[in-house]
Amino acid sequence: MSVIEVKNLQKFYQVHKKEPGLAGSLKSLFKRKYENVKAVDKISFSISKGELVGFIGPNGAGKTTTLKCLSGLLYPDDGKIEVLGFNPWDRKHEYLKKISLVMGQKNQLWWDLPPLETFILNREIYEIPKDRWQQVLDDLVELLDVSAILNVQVRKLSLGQRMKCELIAALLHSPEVLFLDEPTIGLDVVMQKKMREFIRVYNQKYKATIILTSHYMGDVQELCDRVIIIDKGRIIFDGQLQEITQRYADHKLIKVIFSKHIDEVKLAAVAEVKEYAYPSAVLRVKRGASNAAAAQLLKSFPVADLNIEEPQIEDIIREVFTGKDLA
Amino acid sequence: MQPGEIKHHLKVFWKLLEISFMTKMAFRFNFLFGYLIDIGWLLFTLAFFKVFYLNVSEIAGWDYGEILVLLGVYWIYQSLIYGVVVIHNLRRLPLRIWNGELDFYLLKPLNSQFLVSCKEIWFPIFLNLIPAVIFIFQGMGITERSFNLSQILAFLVTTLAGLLIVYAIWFMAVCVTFFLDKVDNLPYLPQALIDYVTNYPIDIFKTRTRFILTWFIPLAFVTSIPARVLLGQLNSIYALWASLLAGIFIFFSHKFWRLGLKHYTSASS
Repeated sequence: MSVIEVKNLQKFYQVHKKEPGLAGSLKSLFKRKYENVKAVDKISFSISKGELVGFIGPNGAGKTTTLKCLSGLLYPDDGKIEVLGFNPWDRKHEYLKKISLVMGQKNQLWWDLPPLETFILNREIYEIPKDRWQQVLDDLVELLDVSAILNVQVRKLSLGQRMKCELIAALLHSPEVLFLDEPTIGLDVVMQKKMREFIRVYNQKYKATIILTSHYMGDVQELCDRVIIIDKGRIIFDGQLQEITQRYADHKLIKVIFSKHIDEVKLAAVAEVKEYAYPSAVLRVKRGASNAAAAQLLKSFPVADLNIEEPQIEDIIREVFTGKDLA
Repeated sequence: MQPGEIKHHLKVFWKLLEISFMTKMAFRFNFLFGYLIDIGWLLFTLAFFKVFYLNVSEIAGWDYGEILVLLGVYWIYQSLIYGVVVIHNLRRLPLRIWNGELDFYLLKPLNSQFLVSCKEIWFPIFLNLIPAVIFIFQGMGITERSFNLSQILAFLVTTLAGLLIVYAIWFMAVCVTFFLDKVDNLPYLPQALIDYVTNYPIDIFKTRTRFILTWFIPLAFVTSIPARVLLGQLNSIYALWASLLAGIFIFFSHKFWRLGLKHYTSASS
């Protein structure tokens, strides 16, 4: 059953172009050049109940704009969106009670008050029955381990602690659909890890449908089976994470550990050397040629260990975005 | 809105009041200082009129007692409109639209216009209701008028409607932000006009201006007309006109809000 249906969604922004410097500013006072920027350009996809989908793409690719259209904040210029059977733009109260949008860089907590006050306010706003609210709150507080800070002023919390509380505030009404926009931005490695664990548990426990955007491939790799890659407002890939490797990586990596020093020039004759620092080397070979290259290495060099590996997804995607031919 | 929804919004409003109280209490000095400034302004306006009435016995048909009633109504308007919607909400709305903070208001299962208008309440200014009531009683005493129940009722209805009208005008003016790049002064523009018109009797204006300010930009309904109704100089039917205008203005403010939201671009994050 599909929970989210997007068909040919388009969203444009009008951006005014200013020439640099003071003169440019003065000029723009009288005459302005506007340019239409296609933030999202005819994208379509559908997501089933309980899926955890990763949106990836460089800055300005249209990830956040898509999430904002899905949550009813932005009015689409064209196309159709249906989430849980609702048109998000209508922002029906029944709809808003079933979704949540968490933005890593913005906060809804009251700055001067302890987080608990915001949680209580949200109980009133979302009309959550008291015992249900208490139960979900206890559950989330335990999962995120924040019982000690519920009564501390938000302004005195660390970024990680605040982010956890933001999540609680966004999840108290047990949304069926959750949009997470860069939920781990600015967090340290340990906290990122915890956040990921939490998202996974939440997805399983509450059977929530989740779309996650992130700059960190780690987030996506660890959490999502399915990814949608957006670039310049268009979807360039929609499928299983593993497929990316098969589809875009035309090469494999051979990692070798040598038992003795070797002649680097000779090594370069076998395959492209990406890294060499005795005793280890990384070679890059064409997909079909990896076995032959490995055999030659074993024959001609004092090899202690050898591995043929797929390139890192992060690297592949970087290559994809830096304008490599996608065909 | 359904009755159930109204109840829901009232409950949230109450909670917001509580929260505002808690946050303001955390800064007692600020609280006290803010109030002292208000009282200073109040005394200043009073002195201003007092000096006037040393020289004349009436201004555009209003004697000193009547002016006191008008000032009382003016301070009701000031404390309620500034306290609930203007200071922490309408004044900050252009910024919230500009920096994308509006997102959070739109995501809540509430009437978004309600939430952007009343989220943070500057309730210390409610204390001004006390001098406001004193002014009214004193003014009524000086003019030696008594009031009956129906007059009071008509006065309350007219005042409430006047507050809704002035809110709607202010709100629509601020909503122009959606259609412009960034205008920080926008919330202060209606303030200049509204405070000017409502602080004085509407009769100081010439016929045509007065007509416009009564029926098209009906600021007369904020202070002058409620005062006249209470003084028994205007028929209670004005309570009906006021309610009708309030309905129309609130309706259009909501339409304008929805139109503005279509132009909302949110800020990129």
